Amino acid sequence: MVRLNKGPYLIILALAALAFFGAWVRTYALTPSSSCIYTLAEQNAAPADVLFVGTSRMGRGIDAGYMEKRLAAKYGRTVTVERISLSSSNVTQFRPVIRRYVEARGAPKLVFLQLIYNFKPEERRSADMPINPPRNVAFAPLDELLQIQKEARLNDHETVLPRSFEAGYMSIPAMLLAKVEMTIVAALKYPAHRLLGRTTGCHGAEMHRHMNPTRLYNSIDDQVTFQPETKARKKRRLANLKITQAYLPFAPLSPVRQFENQQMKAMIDQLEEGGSKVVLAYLPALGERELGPKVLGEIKAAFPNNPLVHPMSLFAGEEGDKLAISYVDTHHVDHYGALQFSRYFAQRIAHELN
Amino acid sequence: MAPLQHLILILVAWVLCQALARRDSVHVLSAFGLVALLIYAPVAGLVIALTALEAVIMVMVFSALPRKSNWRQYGAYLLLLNLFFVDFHHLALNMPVAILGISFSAIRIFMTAKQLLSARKGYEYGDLYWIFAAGFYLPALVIGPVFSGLDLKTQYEKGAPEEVVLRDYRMLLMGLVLAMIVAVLMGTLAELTTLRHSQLAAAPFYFLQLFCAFWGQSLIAEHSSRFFGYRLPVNFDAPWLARTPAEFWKRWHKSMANFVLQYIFLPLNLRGLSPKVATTGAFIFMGLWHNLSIGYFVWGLGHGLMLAFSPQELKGRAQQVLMPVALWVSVIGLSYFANYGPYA
Repeated sequence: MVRLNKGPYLIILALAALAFFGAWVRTYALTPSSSCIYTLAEQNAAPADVLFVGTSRMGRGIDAGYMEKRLAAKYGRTVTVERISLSSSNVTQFRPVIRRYVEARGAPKLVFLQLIYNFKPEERRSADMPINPPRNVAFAPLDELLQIQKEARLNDHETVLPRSFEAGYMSIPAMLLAKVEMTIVAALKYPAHRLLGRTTGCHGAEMHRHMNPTRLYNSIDDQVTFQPETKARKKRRLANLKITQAYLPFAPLSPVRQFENQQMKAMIDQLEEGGSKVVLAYLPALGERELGPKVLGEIKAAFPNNPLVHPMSLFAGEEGDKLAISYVDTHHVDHYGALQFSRYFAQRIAHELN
Repeated sequence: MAPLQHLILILVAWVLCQALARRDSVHVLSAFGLVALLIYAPVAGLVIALTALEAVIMVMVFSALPRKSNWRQYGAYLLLLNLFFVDFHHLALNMPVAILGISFSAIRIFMTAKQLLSARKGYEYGDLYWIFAAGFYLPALVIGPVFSGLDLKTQYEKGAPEEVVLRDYRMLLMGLVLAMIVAVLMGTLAELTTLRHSQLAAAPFYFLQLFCAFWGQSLIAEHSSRFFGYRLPVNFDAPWLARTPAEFWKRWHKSMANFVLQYIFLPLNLRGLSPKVATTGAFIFMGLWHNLSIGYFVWGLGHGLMLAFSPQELKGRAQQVLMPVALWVSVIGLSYFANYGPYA
């Protein structure tokens, strides 16, 4: 048998080569649903006039292409609109994308930033875990990951141990190892894409399709009509309504919201330094259609320099009932709902840009 | 800790060990295991350290007692109570913590302490070090195997004699492919099957996902340890060839099966329980070791009863055909029930 006691040197060399190659070509392994968002941020193009940033609520509720057409047709405005939406209510995942957008393309004139608050009671403290989710570790450069990690102030409210001991927390050395690992894996999977000048998995028409309501990648238009509710769908809606009753309240000034507020302020600062006007956007869940005066006051206190737009007026009367019925689950609307929200925000864009 | 991250840490340790005598690499590996726990799971590292300290104290105190005394024979089993930390810590700490390594390290620490207490000649102070070495041994930190620290000591005294051959690199690569690619693929197939049909229909894919991840990481542990001259027990020996429950447990998670045989089944049997009852009891322990849940209690009970009551040899054509089918349907079904059933 041939002895190969020094063979690990070859393994180290191979892994190091892959890691350097991956870092050089800036490959990053992302799921197909999110890779298009990062492609959008990095493309060599002028910034959109208006950028929407938010979670899947925005992804399913806002159609960028439709708003452009509506602004041109109804308001006589030629405006480019883009949308960055990432699933899950982890707020730090938006920071590298926004930073990359501003660095690569410049700051949009107007940004609608969704109030990205975690809504799940079982994640009451864990909305901020991990501080840098896998998407960030895959996409963001090291210096930004470290900056986010260092700036984060975990909410140690009601815990016996500091939350840096909590399952899901990634220490800086662990994050560095994860980054190396992801770079190596991506270098194995995506070098051809990158060397051809593409980012992973999304380009051209596919990328633009991702700016439409994501469920079917179909654009909405004025032909979309309201679908009356079936018995089964009503049963589902009532069950979903009950689920939303257990959601965490907005409560922007409560201790559990301070991490999220801190991260949103960091994003606002970055955008405003680039010259953007940042407006906060509220996209309601099925059972959260109204924000009372107290909550509105707290949002104002937490973000005094940024106005808030909220489509609560859409939920009034018979049209409001239709909009409520358009919810396909607890917080995503169908194409009819997306049409209403997109029309509302198109009107707001016209107002803000005047 | 992902498989590739684990391997990276092992390789960093290997580079440092090039400046040392081959057998001294075990100290570096134990130190790196502690460092890995501080990086990924500091509370788990503390629990393992305290378990090791507890074991050291037990060995020192119980060794002064007669060999046949109950405390000296069975006192070390108290160490296994530390396994409850995995299931109940979130109640005491009001938050879940990372529990990397506790389940396997506690077993290794127990095995080392038990062997020291069983030794006719007693222990030497230097032997106590191997309790810590077993608890923190980096290659075995994530997924085992389980073994006694005295096995490491024996190899240390022989100068860490294992040589690395081409097969070790092939097995390492196979482990990475299994853990990082095949297991992920099986998981994707399981999700697709669940979406299109039902979660129950996806049970074989869930089982394969678990097997590939487990086997892959076991291969990484076993063959990377040989880089340092130390041999670890093999966990999987072509389990797909098993045709009876007895054969299955000679091929599947062998190190844990041997632990359960030696430290749970045998004592129960020697204390008067029938082999069938002792077997069932031993596997209930193994089930609850995985997870303190009804699902895993049923898993352990199911495997125990299968092993206790199934024929050791297959006689007749009917048994030769039906037994393997029954075996694999049960193995996959019990795994599904434990991990995805209503009592998971």
